[in-house]
Amino acid sequence: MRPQRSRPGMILSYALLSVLALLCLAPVVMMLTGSLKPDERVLTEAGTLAGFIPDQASLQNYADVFTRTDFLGFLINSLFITGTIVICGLLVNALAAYAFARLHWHGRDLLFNLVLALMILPLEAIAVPLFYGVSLLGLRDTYLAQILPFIANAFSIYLFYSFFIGLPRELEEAARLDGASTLRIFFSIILPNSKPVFASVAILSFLMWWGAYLWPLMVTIGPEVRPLPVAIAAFYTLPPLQWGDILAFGVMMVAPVLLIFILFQRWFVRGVAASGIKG
Amino acid sequence: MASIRLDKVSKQYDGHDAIIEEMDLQIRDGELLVLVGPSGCGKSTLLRMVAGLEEVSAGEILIDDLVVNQLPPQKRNLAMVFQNYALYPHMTVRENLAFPLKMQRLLRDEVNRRVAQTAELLSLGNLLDRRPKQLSGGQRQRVAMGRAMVRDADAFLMDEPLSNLDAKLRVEIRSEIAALQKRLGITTLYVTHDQVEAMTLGHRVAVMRAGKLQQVATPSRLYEHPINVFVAGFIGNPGMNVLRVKLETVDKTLAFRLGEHCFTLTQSVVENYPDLPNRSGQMLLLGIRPAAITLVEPGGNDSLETIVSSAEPLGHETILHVDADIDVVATDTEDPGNTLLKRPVLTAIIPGHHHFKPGETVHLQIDCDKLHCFDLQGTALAPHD
Amino acid sequence: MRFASRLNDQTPAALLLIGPALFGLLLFVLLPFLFALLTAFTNLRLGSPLPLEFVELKQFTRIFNDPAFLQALANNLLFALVVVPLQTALALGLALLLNQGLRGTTIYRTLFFMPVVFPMSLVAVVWILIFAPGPSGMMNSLLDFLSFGQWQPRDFLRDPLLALPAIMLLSIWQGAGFQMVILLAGLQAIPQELDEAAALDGAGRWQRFLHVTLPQLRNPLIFVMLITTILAFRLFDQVQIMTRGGPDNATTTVMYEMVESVFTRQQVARASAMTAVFFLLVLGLTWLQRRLVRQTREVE
Repeated sequence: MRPQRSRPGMILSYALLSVLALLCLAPVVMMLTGSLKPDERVLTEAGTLAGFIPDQASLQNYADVFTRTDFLGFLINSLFITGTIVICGLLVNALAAYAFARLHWHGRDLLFNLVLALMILPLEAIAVPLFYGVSLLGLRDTYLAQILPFIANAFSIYLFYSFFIGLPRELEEAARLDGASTLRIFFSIILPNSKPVFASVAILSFLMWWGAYLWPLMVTIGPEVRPLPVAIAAFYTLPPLQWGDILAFGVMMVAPVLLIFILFQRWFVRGVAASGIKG
Repeated sequence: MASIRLDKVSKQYDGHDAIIEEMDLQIRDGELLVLVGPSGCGKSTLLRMVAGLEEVSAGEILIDDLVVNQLPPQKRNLAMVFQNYALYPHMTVRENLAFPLKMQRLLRDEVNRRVAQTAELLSLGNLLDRRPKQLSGGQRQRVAMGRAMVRDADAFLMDEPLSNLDAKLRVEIRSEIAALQKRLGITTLYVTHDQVEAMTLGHRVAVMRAGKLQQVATPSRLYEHPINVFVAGFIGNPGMNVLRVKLETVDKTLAFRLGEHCFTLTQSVVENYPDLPNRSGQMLLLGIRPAAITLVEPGGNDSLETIVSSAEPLGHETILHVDADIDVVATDTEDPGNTLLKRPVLTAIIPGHHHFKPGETVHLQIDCDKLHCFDLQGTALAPHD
Repeated sequence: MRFASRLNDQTPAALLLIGPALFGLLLFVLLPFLFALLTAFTNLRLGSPLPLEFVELKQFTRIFNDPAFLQALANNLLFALVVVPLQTALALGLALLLNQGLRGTTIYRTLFFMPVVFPMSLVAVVWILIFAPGPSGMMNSLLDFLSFGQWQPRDFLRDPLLALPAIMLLSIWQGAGFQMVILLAGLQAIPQELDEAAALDGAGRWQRFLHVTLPQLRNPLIFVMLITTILAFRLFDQVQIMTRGGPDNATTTVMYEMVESVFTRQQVARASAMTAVFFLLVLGLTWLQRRLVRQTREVE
């Protein structure tokens, strides 16, 4: 039982929460209503209450986005790049983590310490040489340059490792006695019992790469393999400046993610919390 | 079916003392052998070595005269029941039972047939589509048994399979296991820390202490003729009282003194231990089962005056712990002859329900027909047949 | 580790499992990183005809004599000094409010976490509109309303004094939810009995917070503060999109200078030197965090 809260205390809590929620929500609502308004009214009404009321709503801005840019192309780029990194990353990093957590082999401790050390290197610390290498190899403006370097991830390995190490060892021993091979144990026993960590890693790496800006900005030149985050920044600088279109672009860019987030918000919260449990 | 033999098996981790030292043990074809000992004595490690989950440091493990030291677990054809059952949580009971068969690449019809057969044998029929989470402790235990039985293994290894169950269920499943094992006639190595389980289940019982085998014998022999004071103190509930006494010759008969009273040894004890007359005048260790102590009225000749320290009335009997002016030794040390308990407590089992008050004086008589004699090192005198 | 026999040596299987990950980490993380550390001591440029030379610490002396880079370091530092305490306090406050078991907690938590799923580039673009100059700009109107008409409309992003605070504000908006969730998990991991025991011992609400909750929350707090501090030194997306480091370097950052060097001027070596400085900062912060966490473990 939690200590009973006094009534004024409760009202104060709700009041505080609601004010903060309004502040948190305001930019989002403004974005949504603005996207439904004629371009010229977005800027002038943003500071008034009208900025939050979508009168005379129309989808004209959304149509404009498709005529002025290749939104679908960018969306497909983003989905393909992020999807490949996440899915390949789950497999590659989980397999490695399993070997670190459970198998007996020469050099395990040494290599695991290396992985732990690499964990503190953010992308920014390797962006310059990576960019140099990609440029030398003529791989700028390719999917490959946006995907391949980021599949293996030390932090993902660490998250998987922490989870696998906590699984009951007897499950695997039972499976070994039952005649299962190492790979078989991984796919038939470990994988089905590790849904939470797979969800966590998938969500964390999805959030990271869906919103990634620095690297795609550096390696993409034209719009062919450009993902959404770079595309919206480019769209903003594309004259004429039409705020309604930009906001419509933004709504379409975030809507699918927001939808997934609302449907699976428990998993999102759990996934993020998992990243902080060790520290 | 198969027999399992351990030949001077040792286990040692780098830089640590040996966990198991040169152990010899044979589990005969079709036998249920219980390996019992206090926690940390190495019995589970031994089981895991037989299973192939742990490396053997020295010595050999043989299954049907074939050395299996280098064989990985999946090639030994042994089935194991784990303490926490290790049921695959994401599979139904049916899938759990089928998993080992699928690993053997049996045809689907054969898998289904065997699963059905095993389910029938263990009355799991109506649980086949449930997941482990939806089962009670006893049902989980049974599924774990089933997963071991389903695949025609050469032998069963059981690691404390009942320790996660409540007392009543434990008794129930204990007899089920005994019946199943008898019916299947499968060689079984059963590990437990509970001597009651060992005594009720084992065809033979192997008692282990600190990595060393103490005695392997049938339950009754183990109870009647413990090979040393450790086994004597470990088997039986409560275990044997072991006292240090001086053997004397009084009026040409052997006797010992407890407190102020002199107890003479009976003819049968002397016959059991032919070496005894030569030890007159020496100290030795005397074992007395709690059941060999009886309550008598005060004033008797051969009775011992003691003070109640605590009593546990159980209904049909009362376990009585009394303080007395005697030397009681610890049974679980290397040098029992010189390890006296700080507080000499004697334990007796008195039939019936009694209420004793702590501090109360009671008079006890010892049935001198049922004494066990050990030397000061704790070893039973004159190994006899 | 040595193996007496081959029974439990799973080296072949293990190599198969770690192979792809190890290949990726070595080729795309370790190798580039070492390459950056090495090139920081050369004159490497992309497509330069000059021969490669070892220039000792010249790149470092150059960047530390470059006012723009010094300004960038100062901006990162200022950003961290302001955002880390503010954002952590806000996140802690939210977490505490949500940890009372009030009705509707899930909805509020969803709302506060929502900005985290917004890509930073989108956030930056939307907040350009919020910071629009002139009296009709959203932020200007809000401040006008809050100050009862005393506020003079400003062009936030082109104002040397206000540009960086403006970027701080949207960064807090986007990042607080992430911290909140971690702190909330930390709060929920504190055994309820501790709080109850303290209450029975006569501790008031504030005393319990100070003597029970905060000490128990120490490690998650250190963790989120470290993450946010490192994030402060990685600051790039918002700056690149909203101000391009301006006005007059008022919002430039180490990352922005680094990307400018390698991207617009092909100065690989100079950018590598900045990478090295950035790495040392991250390393120092991580080391500090590990030390602080270890201290608590020793106390326990």
